[in-house]
Amino acid sequence: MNPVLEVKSLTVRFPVQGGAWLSQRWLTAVDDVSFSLAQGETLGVVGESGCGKSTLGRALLGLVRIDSGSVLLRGAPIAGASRRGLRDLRRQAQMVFQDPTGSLDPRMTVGQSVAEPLEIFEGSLGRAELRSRVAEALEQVGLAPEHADRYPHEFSGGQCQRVGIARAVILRPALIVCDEPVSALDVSVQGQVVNLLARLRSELGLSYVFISHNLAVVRHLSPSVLVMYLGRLMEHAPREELYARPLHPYTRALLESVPPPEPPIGPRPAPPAAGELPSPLAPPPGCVFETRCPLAQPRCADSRPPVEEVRPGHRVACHRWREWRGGLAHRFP
Amino acid sequence: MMALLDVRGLTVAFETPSGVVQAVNGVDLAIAGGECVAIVGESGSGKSQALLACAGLLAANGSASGSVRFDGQEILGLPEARLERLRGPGFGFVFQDALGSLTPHLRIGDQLAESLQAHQDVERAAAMAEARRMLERVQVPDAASRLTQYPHELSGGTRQRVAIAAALMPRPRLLIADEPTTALDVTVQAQVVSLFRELRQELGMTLVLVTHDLGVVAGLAERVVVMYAGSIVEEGATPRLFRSPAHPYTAGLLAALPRLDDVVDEPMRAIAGAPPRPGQLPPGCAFAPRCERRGEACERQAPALTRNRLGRVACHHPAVAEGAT
Repeated sequence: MNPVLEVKSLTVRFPVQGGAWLSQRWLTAVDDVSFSLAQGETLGVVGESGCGKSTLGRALLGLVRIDSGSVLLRGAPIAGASRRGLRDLRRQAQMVFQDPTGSLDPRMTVGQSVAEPLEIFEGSLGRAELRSRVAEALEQVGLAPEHADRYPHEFSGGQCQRVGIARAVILRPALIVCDEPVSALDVSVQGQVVNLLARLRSELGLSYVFISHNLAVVRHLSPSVLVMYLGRLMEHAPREELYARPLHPYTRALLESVPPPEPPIGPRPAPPAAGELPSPLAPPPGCVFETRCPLAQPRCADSRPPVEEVRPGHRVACHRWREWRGGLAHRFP
Repeated sequence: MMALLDVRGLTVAFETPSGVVQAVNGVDLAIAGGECVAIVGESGSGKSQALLACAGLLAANGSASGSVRFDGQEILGLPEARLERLRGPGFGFVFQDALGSLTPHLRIGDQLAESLQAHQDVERAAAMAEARRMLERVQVPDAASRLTQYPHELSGGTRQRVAIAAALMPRPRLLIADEPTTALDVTVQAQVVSLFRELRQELGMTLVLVTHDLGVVAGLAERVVVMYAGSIVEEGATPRLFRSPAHPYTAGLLAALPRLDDVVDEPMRAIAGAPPRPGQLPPGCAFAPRCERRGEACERQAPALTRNRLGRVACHHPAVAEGAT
């Protein structure tokens, strides 16, 4: 079966104004990332700010220019697609954003917001048909058809995010890119939205790319997880392996940085990763994590580790993964 | 023993175009010197406004009533000039947005030196030397060369360390940190939590941590105060509160915290509904509409915050905590 999404050596760069006159520098936001996603599957993408995860999500929908590599949505390339081709692709791939209130037009009723994608892509629909499709979408996300006549300010953050999801599902897309969809919500409400996304996935056969900095939330929804750092793929593995037996020192540092949810007994371990992200304008020449890695050796500074497939479905970019026995199974059985 | 900060019946209200909105509804709280207390709550719980009111830092349309005594002295109603004198050596503040709490056009060294010189009669050179020592103390790498840099030249984590250093320069007796790790990446968060822990040990500092992040609370605080819709709903020692929460809201919040050891095939836990907006509280207990344990009394009458051996709780149907009776 053809995958919904096939990404090969995707690279996205942005021009940055340099210090000297007319000097143009380039920031590589996504650097040679590949993966594929089957229908109905979910890929979690995790990383810290500046790792390129949001740019990756935008590139998948053709919202930023791709420098090299390719993105195929149901076999059709996103880059270089004609206007009409792109329009058709956009219909099949939708996005849910982080800021649920900010991504809705405050002057439009919720019903108008949810109907908007339909009006753009299926302009021939009659009023009655439009109205019933909106009602159906609202019910799918746990809202009532009567909510269509209200305005975003009358809703809580969690409800606004439901509206954002209704806008994404109303076109019956194959793929939804969710970019930090619960990060702006109160903790007590986050689970409602995660559970809604899980239900819609099974009811509608949706595929997700689920982007988040929160490893515990990603774990809930994503059978397969890709870890990024400074634009590059560090590790990509099935959930069970990534959380219990991470092979990349960065994955391990991320997992160990998550504060335990109860007061620890005994002495606290030192923070797992020293220092901070290097400037993306001048990434380290070898492995990008080398400057913070507890296992770094001279070769890590000199040469870029290739992405190696360690087991089927488990890829890692680290010179030292073979020596690395640092399983975390004791913490995340 | 007299509390360092003694808050009684604190109420905070804001004048808005749509009328007066009450953000804090009668908070009683005492914090002793040397303690680390976390105030936990979600958006609209009033946790930040309560603490801002304690330092006289409310927005212009806000007003506070009740009583806030700092080291025995009443703060509410104090003229701004007297408050300003008290703030540096009395209260230090660290905010979520370090960039916003530093002055953008001042070099780091100048900012730190000024925050000391505003309160103490110190020579410039001595203040600069102290600034450098403080940067080293908060583990800013390459402290000497940071003194001549501007805030925008620093990374997010270093900026937050500098903001902590600036707050500590006048040696405040009480440090209030409002969501100090929320804007930081998870690996840097772990570093800042660890820094706070060391500073407390070294300086014996009294720390009030205002946050929505229970993970950060678990790693730092000895006592937790949980707020909901402008009121305290539960208070207790951190281990007890995490192990056997008495208020259904505390229990729900703890259960909703996504964990790395959650069973993935089960739905994530959540509390139904959403927190009420300030000014639109339901009658009775503000949490009742979302509460699984609500009974008839809950919708009629707000429960009083009552004290037992294990802390305080405001609930008509609290879970019976072990050892409470």
